[in-house]
Amino acid sequence: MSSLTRLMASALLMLGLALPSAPAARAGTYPDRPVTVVLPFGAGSGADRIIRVMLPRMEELLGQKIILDYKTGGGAVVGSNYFMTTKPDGYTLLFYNQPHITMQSTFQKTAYNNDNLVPIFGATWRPDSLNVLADGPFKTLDDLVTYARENPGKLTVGTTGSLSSNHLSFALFSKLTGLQMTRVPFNSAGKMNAALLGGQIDATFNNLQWLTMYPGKLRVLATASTERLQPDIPTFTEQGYPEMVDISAVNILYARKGTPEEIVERLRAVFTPLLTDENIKAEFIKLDIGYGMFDHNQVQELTDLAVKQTEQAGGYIKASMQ
Amino acid sequence: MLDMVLQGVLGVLQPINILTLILTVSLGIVIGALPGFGAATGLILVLPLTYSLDPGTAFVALCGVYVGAEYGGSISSILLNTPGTGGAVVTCFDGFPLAQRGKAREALFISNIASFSGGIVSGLVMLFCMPILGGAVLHFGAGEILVLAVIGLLLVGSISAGDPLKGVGSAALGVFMTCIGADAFMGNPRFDFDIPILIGGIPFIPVMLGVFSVPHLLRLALGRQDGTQAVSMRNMSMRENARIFLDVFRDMFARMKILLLRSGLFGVLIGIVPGVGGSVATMVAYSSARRASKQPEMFGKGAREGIAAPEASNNGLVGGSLIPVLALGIPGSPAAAIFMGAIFLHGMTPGPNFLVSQGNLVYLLIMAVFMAAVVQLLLGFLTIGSFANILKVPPYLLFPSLLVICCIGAYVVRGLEFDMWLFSGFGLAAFFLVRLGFNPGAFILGMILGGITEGSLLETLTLARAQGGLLAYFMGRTIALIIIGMVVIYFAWRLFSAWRTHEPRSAAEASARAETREVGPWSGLRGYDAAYSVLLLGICAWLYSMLDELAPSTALFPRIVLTVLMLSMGALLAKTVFFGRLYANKTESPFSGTRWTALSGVLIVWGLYLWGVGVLGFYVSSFLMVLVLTVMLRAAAGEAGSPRSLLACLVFSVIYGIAAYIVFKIFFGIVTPTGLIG
Repeated sequence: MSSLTRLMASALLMLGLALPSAPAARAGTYPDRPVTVVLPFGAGSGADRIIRVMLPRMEELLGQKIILDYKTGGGAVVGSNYFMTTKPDGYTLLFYNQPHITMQSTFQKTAYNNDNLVPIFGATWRPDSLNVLADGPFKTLDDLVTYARENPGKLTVGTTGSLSSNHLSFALFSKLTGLQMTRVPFNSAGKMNAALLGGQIDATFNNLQWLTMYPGKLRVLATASTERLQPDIPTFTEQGYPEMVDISAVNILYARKGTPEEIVERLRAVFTPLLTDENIKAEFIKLDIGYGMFDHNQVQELTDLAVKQTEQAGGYIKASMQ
Repeated sequence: MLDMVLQGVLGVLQPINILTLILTVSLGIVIGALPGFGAATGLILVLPLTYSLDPGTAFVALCGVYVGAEYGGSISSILLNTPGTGGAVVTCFDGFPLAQRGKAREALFISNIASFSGGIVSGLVMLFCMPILGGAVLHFGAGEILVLAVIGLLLVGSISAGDPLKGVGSAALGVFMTCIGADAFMGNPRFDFDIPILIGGIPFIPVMLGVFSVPHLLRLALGRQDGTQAVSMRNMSMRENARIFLDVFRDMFARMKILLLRSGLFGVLIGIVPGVGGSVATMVAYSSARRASKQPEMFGKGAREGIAAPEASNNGLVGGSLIPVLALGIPGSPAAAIFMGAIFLHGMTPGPNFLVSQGNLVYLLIMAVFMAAVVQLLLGFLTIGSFANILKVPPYLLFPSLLVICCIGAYVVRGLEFDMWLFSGFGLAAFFLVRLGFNPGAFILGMILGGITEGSLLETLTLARAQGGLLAYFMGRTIALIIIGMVVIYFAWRLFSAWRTHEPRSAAEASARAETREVGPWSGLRGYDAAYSVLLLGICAWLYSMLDELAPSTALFPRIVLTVLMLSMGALLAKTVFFGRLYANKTESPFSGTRWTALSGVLIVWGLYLWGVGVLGFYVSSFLMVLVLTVMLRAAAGEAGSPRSLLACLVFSVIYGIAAYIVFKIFFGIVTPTGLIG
């Protein structure tokens, strides 16, 4: 009998130990415990690599440990929906990207959208590019457009996933040119490049990152950037498509709407030095991630642009998901 | 190429990798030795621990578990007559009789040496295959992948043991699971029933963990003491041990060189074919060994060759099953699928570009296959028998401890508590359905191949449309045509030989047939078959009616799968109604002998545990569950509940809880649910 009482006592003790001294979230003391960042793409994903580069510096600036919580599935919908069920107290944040959020919340049922996510800052900048085989038939963007015009539906173009920046580029380009091209979605950029190199598809919307991975094998016909990213690679703008600009996946740290204003301001202020950190810049360039840092205002501008482009290409996005 | 091999050798010889191999091979042996916990389960449980390792070491670790588990499976076959893994079923045939004759040690050594040689053979094949494949894989497009995946599904259906209709049904059901959530091509959601979490689909790891291990776990917890006891071995000095080992080694070297090589190759080749698992490889190796033997009558009575052949082939399977994963991104078995998941986890994509861009890792992995075989040989020799002690741990400690580990394994891949429920739900369903002829192996392979089949099917159709039709598309694809030709020849040959011999295809089937003849026309199983085929037909019809709202490409694959499922269930129903007697092979109800009271007790605690994880947090809840279940299961096993034993249970659960916390949380930094209170 005595052991039973002891048993219960120790069970209660364990419970007691687990009870935290949970204080209400107050901006004055924020953050007084570790902050969790939800990653809706899995461990090892591009977003994971990106945040890991910044993580030590982020923890240093915040003065707290940051726990990465991978909640994956359904093209990041599951993890991001999960995030919308957490408390808006600044202790759980989301690391997710535009234009994905805009596209998903427009075309699918999601708990999140541009109105209930509050941007803290954004990282990475790698504008989409239209790529073909270096020794293939297309030497210029005009070659490709001419072929596609003469052979409706025959040109096959790969994009990574659906409702991604690549998908937006594809749809917008289809809309601007009026071309009928066949979209082939791939669940990873690696697979898509293998398909391009193996001649399974004619072209891809992707980014310059892959040029270094397959030196000499790929030709970039145009990039969706305002200026040339490399001296010998033209932009869409200079070839007559000025709307094809600034289409890039940008990873953004978000808080939930409803998070106390002081905490949001504090997070934005605390991470400001990150935006100009030379070490992080060097690391991004070394890992060929595509360097770019944006404060919350710039993130807002990019989001507005993504919304505008998504609206513009809307019909084409929908049609290419049938 | 040569420098990559050299780098691989140097890489695997690094102290950290050697140490990792020693740890993981041991772990693999222990997990493999537990009935119901095969290589795939072992890999799942270790996967989360590799998050924090660098990719090379992570692959080495997984490789060690895989190799260790394939050998470990034979330990319980030999000592307990209960296969630890699917690939070790055949090892029981001769391993247990030999052990009963007092030669358990010889039997274990034979298995150890044969597993080693199988590992070496598979490593050699990988080494010679990769450079050749490296050039060829870029020509593998959607069409070729589609052909391979469909072959895998056909083989799953046709090879699985038991009623082939139920095999096809189980596989189709598994494929249908992949239709829930975003489709594999366009990413459009479907069958989510407005439950947001279902958009992410039904992940295969928690389901597999449940379907494979829960039936065994529950049997373990509820097991009656029916007198099956492990054959025990007396202690021996190292010298004596070494003498026996050398004897066995010399004997095998003298008589079984060809047998080992052939069996290993069977393992590798069958491993490469998607959908065909270890049980087929070991069966093929075993029967070919018997055919080649001068004393075939000794098989089944403790023939040494009867242990060597299956064990060499199931370790040969390791390398074989990794080849299509690395080269094409097609996993042919559950274990290979988890290996593929591990590659994804470390930010890489297996498949054509993997061989090119990650050559160093590929060769490190191949060298790890060799090295793991060596480590397994040494460990098997040095620790002979001590791994077998896991079989002596009482079920009331083993069950709750394994339940905690399984739950964390189910949780950690997506980080969702929902997955613990999935694991438990599918596991419990499997516990009952297996008795009705549900085939868990076919179901899981269906789940693995489903997504790949759909993705490659829709990609093929999209490309074919752009190129002017399917015929035009496939005419340009020599590799696909060659594969299709080989398959047609294979099935034609099988039909021909079946027609010529008129013999049941396998021993298992023959014995099943023999049993059926004695049974009267009214049996419990017949009623169950009819009931669930009608139920499934109804569900399929309901799901079918939902297809019209979906985009055409999103609806296509579920339409095919549901049609196959309905056809197989319709055929089963017809068969039950018209030939019910022939296919009833049990006189009693499939559920007789279930201890319902104990079962419901366990399930209530289990349910409370999962609910508690969300409220109290993972560790507190686990501690309480382990405590309650050890006490409860001890009482159910009829052991006295003295205060001292209660205290022992308490001490065990406290130590276990703290150890779990240290290993998972502190050492490997796994984020677990913290509950409502923090």
